Amino acid sequence: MKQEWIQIIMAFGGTFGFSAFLHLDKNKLLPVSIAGAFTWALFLVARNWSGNEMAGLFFASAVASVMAEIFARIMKAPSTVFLISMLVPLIPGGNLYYTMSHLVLGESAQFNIYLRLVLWEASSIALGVMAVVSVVHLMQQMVSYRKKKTEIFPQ
Amino acid sequence: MENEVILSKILEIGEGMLISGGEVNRVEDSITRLCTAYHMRNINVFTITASIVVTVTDEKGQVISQTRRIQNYRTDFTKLERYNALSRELCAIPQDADYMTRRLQEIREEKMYTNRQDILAYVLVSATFSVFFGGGAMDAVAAAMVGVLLYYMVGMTRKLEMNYIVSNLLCSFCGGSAAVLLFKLGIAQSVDKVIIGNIMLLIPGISLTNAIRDMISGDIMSGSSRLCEAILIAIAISLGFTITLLV
Repeated sequence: MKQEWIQIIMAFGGTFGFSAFLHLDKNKLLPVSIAGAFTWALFLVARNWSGNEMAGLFFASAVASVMAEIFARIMKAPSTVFLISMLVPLIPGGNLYYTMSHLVLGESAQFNIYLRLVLWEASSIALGVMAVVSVVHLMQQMVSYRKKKTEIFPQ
Repeated sequence: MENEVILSKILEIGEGMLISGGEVNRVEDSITRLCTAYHMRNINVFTITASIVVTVTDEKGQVISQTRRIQNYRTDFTKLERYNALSRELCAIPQDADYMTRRLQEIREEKMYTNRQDILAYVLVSATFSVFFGGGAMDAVAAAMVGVLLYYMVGMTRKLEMNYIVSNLLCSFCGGSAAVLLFKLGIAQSVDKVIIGNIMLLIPGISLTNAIRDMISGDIMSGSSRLCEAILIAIAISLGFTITLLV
């Protein structure tokens, strides 16, 4: 449990640092960092609840995408800006490193296990983002379609 | 003539967005809206990660076509926001070319973060992520030191306008060597945790996220080229970092 709290705090610091690294507007650093830490906490809860790491990643990245869209509407900035910052704690940087280190050291059995893990993790995150972004995209299309229709047929 | 200058400024806005981390869909959409606001017809915009092509017909019936080749990316979310806001502002109230030139100049010269704050960001990312992935306090200190080194390395490769694969390979190799050195000196407790903290600085998270977003909005070409780029960079940096383990 202690380890998990440390991770959540570090996810906060990491998101803060990463968004500063990408020159996010300074007024937005704090809310985004809180959202980043929340994303990681959500992942921990979802993973423990479902017992499946991939399901946890999918859920956390989907919620992060929803939060990014909400932030974008409130703070009037592109949603990519928020999404990229919030997803940072989920990035499987550790396993990417272990995959390559097993490859370099010639441990092919371990390499296979880690490679599969990294690919699974990356695709779970991508799927979570896709699920939300495609729905948002569809909704935007519907709104613009309705606007066009009223322009053609004014009441 | 006037319209050609205006189209060139519109392209500059789109180029700025793409360079500072915007998705292809956003760039195409903004350029289309801007051209509409300036009374241009038959607007054809084609954007991939490496170039923007626009052909329009202005109100006199003259066909204008311009392109931009994008060589280097430099993610900067504040600039992206500024370009986005400028494009929205111009769509609402179109201004003349001089005004656009002035505003673009302002955005280009604006510096949100000082060099010291940039270094602090590198330090914060590498130190926190080394602890995040299970490192100890000394690992965080070592990771922070490597982070400062990476800041100067990245700055240097940008100045030299190196190919991004080579520059990532070089940065990560030097970072990895520094981590091994700090371990040999007894500062770091585990090389792994120091390196993992620093991998997070170079990881192509932006390309990967934007690749997904591009593909969803139907820009398969940009999406796949970004995905390809992200995978190549990921392989390059992890190879650069791990190759030092053999020494």
